[in-house]
Amino acid sequence: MKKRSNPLWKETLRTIWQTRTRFLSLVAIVALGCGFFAGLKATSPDMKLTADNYFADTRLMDLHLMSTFGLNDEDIAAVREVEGIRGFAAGYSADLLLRTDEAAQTVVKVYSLPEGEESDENYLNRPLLLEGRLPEQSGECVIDKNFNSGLSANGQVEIGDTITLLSGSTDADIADTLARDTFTVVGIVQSPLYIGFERGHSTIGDGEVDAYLMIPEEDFTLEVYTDAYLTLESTAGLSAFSSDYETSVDEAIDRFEEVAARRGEERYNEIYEEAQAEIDDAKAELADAEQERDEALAEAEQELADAEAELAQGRRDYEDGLATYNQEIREAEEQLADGEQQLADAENAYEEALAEYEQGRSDYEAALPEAQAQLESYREQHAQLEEQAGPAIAQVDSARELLTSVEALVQSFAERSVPSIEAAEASEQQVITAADGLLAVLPEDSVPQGTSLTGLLTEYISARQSQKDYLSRQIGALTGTIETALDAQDEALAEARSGIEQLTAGIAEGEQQLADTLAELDAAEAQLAETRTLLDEQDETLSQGWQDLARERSSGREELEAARIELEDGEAQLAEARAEYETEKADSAQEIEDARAEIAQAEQDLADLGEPTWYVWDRDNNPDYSSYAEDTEKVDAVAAVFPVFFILVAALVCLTTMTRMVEEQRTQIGTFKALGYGRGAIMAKYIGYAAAASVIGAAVGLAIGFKLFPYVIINAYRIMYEIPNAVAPIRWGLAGACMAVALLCMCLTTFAACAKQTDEVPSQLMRPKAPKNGKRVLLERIGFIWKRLNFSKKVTVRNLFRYKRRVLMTIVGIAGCTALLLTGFGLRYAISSIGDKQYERVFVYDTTVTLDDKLTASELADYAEALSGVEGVAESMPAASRSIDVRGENKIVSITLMVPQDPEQMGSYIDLHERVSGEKLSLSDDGVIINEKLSRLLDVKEGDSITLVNPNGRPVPVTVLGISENYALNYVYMTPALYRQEFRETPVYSTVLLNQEEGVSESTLSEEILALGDGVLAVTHTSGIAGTFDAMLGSLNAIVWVIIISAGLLAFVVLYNLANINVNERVRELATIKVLGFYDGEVTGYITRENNISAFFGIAIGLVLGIALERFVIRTAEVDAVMFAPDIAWYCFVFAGLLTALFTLIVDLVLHFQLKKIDMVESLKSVE
Amino acid sequence: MSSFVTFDNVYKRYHMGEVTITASDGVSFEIEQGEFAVVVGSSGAGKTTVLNMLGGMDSCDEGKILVDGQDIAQYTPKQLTDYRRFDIGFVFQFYNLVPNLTARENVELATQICRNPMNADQVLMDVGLGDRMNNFPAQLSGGEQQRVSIARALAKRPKLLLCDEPTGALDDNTGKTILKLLQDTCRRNNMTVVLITHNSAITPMADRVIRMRNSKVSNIVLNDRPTPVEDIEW
Repeated sequence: MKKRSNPLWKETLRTIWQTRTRFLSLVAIVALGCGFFAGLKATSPDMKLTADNYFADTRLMDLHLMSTFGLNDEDIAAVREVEGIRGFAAGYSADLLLRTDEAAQTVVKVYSLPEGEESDENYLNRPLLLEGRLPEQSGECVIDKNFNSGLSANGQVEIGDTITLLSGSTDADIADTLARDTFTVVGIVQSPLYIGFERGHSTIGDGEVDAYLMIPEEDFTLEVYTDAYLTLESTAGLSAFSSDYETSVDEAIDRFEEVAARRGEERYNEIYEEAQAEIDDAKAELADAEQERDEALAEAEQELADAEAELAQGRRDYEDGLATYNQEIREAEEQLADGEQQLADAENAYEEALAEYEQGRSDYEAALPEAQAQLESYREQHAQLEEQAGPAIAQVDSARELLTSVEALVQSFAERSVPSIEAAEASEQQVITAADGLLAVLPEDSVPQGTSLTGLLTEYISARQSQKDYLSRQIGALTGTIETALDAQDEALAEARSGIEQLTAGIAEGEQQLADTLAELDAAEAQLAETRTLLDEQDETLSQGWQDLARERSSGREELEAARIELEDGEAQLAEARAEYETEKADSAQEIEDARAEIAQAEQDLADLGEPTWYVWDRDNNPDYSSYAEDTEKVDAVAAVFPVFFILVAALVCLTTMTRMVEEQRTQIGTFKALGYGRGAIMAKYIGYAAAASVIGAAVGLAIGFKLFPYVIINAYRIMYEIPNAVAPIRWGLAGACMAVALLCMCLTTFAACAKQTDEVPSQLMRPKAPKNGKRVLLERIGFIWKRLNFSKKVTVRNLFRYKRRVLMTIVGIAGCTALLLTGFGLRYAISSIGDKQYERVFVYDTTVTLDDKLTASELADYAEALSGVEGVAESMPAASRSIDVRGENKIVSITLMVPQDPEQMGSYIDLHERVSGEKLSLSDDGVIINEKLSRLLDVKEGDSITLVNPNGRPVPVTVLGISENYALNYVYMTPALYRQEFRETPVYSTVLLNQEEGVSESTLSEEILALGDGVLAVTHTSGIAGTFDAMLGSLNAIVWVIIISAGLLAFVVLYNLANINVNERVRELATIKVLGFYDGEVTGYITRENNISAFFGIAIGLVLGIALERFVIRTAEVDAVMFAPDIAWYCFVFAGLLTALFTLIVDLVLHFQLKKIDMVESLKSVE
Repeated sequence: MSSFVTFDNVYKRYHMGEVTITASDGVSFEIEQGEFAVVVGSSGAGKTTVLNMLGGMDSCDEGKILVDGQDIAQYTPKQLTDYRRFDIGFVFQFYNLVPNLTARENVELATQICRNPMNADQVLMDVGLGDRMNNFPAQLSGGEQQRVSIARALAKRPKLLLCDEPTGALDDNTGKTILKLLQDTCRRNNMTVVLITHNSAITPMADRVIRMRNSKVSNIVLNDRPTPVEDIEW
């Protein structure tokens, strides 16, 4: 409490308040110094901490195990038995191609998604989910956050898109690896397995993995695990950048390699047996297949033969059919012609017969009346005769008839009898009854009276046998008599009878004759009519016949034609079948041959099969991990240089300020001394003042520095590394040290300043200190210059020499600022310009065309030929380009080996020259040309030897013939002859370099080239590549900004502080010249001219220093694959200088307003 | 026709927090062309305020300040600067020479900024420093420094020469020579000189004596026959 009321203490606080600008500038310079130093110093550990936290949080593996045969359950079990495993996980991975519309192939590495609980130590390599979600079911995937960087603008993949994967080689089926080939993107992740942009190498596509993705483990169909990851107990809590970690991992690698060796042998045996069995199976299968093939072929052969026979038969049948057809048609025609002939004949005969008939008819009609008259006369005679003899004759005839009947009756009853007449038949009764009529013919008395025949007969028929004879003789006698009578009568009648008969016959004959003639005529007529009908019918039949023939001919022809077509079809089919058969035969023969070759290959492979190679890798297998570690060291190295300026300047500024302050307060010190305060007490005030400034400044500076610098720099590195947000804790140890140093510096400088003053006796102190005397300077001796200077310039010049310390400080501060700016701009230029330099000075070609290196040499040559013919291509050169390693003393560097097909032409495409002298370099068979950076990395000069690591053979030592300018990547150039000699193989010219004609549209050219065929994998224009370097500039800009702002702050604080002191010291002088009527501008100029001149010298010195600083930073920051431009562009100097000048002007401007405020009344005050 | 210098009811107030200090409380006086005027008063009487306003170093709050017909009270800062530059010569109590410049250069400091300056060497010879022209102020005595200061003021051929206690830091004899120099200059060049002092002993040499008390003009005395400096004793 007592101390509170201590007037010195109060005085100190008041002093701080009164001189707050000065106090603040002290705080600022301390803050700047501490902040810059501590911030930069903390950046490297913060980078490590950030990475370590990330590795620990994501449980990044310490070791990664792989085997060329994959890892089966026994392998895994064997690995897990090894002691010291903290966490273990096995997984799958595969290199596949992404299906895109591009010609270039995008190789993706597909991982099984690690899974597990948060607390599970076996949940390794946890992916960091950046967007979306993790896969939950089969068919979903998460992609690398840089997935799209290798894809074209319209091939970009986003969440929700579906991607399709392809197997990398034609002989591998994707189904062997994955259960499916399409996946839906559900999220974007960042895996700790990759901290840079390097995605590793692959055996497929262009050999470079472009991105990775993760899918559920269930979607892999591989039989064995491909990868095993583990963390070690011994590394728990260790920083990955510590040597303890390295030792722990190295020890563990030894343990795992033992297991690997043992399991390798066991696995070999297993696989050998398995493969042998498989080969045997395959052989058996092949034999079966061969047999089956032979049978099938024989059968097919038979079928073909049958078909051929059938077809031949068909052909014959057709021929026959055709002949028959022709024959039949001919016959039918003949027949019809005959018919016609016959019909004509018949027609003639008919005509004749008709004429004859008509003749007959007319004859008959002419003879008819006469014949009828003849007949009439006969009929008349006949009638006369009839009339005359007719009844007699009729009587005789009927008597005879009766007689016959009687005789017949007798005859019939000769053996039989009937009881009475009534029992006889009616006809017999009639005959019996009539029989007496016969007696009439007998001449009278010839027969006894009473004789009755009827009676006799009646008796006869009923007589007994014995009587019969008697009776019959009586009857007979009687009948005989009758007969004799009758004969006599007949004789009398005979003549008449014959006349009648003659006449009857004549009439009948005549009638018959007429009727016959008529009948004959009618018959002839009927015959003729019939003939006519017949003829007509025949005619009809004939014409029908013709029509039928015509129809039949055409239908027959159609049928034949159809048959022919069918036949030809059949023949064609047969030919086809035959061809098919031949093809099948050849194919199957090829297949068999292939299978046999495959088996032979398998056998060969098996014979060649070595033990599986196990890889036990630590994190450094991915070069990004070690380059990150290197980068942290680089930051540390830069951190060691940069803050030097700040600390130096801060110390100087503090010293000046405190000295000035003590000087200003001389009188007061004297007063205090006179009042009896001790030296310590008086010093305590100033030391307290300084201490307060340094504590506050350091606190502010550290608080900002510890956060700002690590954040900015780590964020800049995050453009190149996939690490999470910066972790930048306050580092209390460093903070304490900084604070202590700041405090110590300030207090010591203050002490030094005070010591001189407080030594003096109070009386002296009470008097104003004699102002520094004006002195002549050297310049004045050079009259002609001096006279030309006006007074204010003279003042300036004198002042510059009068206040040397201040000038020196200004120069140092400004030089530091300029140097920093130059470094910033230079760094930016060094990196940004390499694209242009590489592609304007070295790679002067316009376009690279990448051809499929699996093409044969002649195919490649064809493509090269075709390329040179594409419109817009001025010239082209094929070259072989392959990535290999080159070994130096103690370093291996990945390089691109370029073998131009025609080394003579090389200059038009790649301009090999020495950088500094510009001397052209030409290739020869004696050795190689390497690029500058490579020579530096390997520490070789012209004439030295380097060793190319040939992956397929012995290492290749070559002599370096020249060292060429080059910026991006490392190259070794070689002639084809040397390549053939050293590598024992022909270079594969799968890269073609092109020069375009003026004004060609590159996109059109690309399209045309890509259209040449599938062998064109990619067309790259150098105009595009140069732009990719811009991406790196993003990170640089942040650092350049940090540098510019820091430098600006430095310049500002220094200039302002010093100018402020200057003004304070000379406030009287300034007030005086104001009273004298100086304008504000002149007053400002009076004071700032000094600053400006100091600044000018500072800038000049800074530009020189900056070159060295820039060199240092660039060398430190350079990576193996890139040589930053070793020169600094003129505009970097201009910018650095102008910017510093600008800062100076800003300070001038601030001063201007401050000077305006100076009260002229000050000039009237007495000197204190 | 007004006088060469006219203060017409001029007020000047300073505000220090709640307190308002009236430094000029209705000051009015006139000075004719070629007069040697002395403003005299004790410390805090307001004479320095008058000098500041007359010298264009400060502005007034009220009233008119006419110098050669121009009201400088209405001047802008720029006009005031011009006024100081071309019309006023100022002699300070503590000389206010630029320590880094020689005597001649200190004079040139003034001659380089005005339109029709006198030759610096000539002026320095006039003030009797012909042989000390190349000396730095630190190498000169107080009187010599004040001579340089006067030479610097005269070299500009000002309309008005303002002197703020020019003898305040000098011993009597030296003071007298300085006053003599000023009076001679006034007579020889017909220059209007305004001298401010707390020392009433100087008043007899003046053509006009303006006495001030409590920020006001207490009286103005015109001296028809000024005493030559040599005859004054204090």
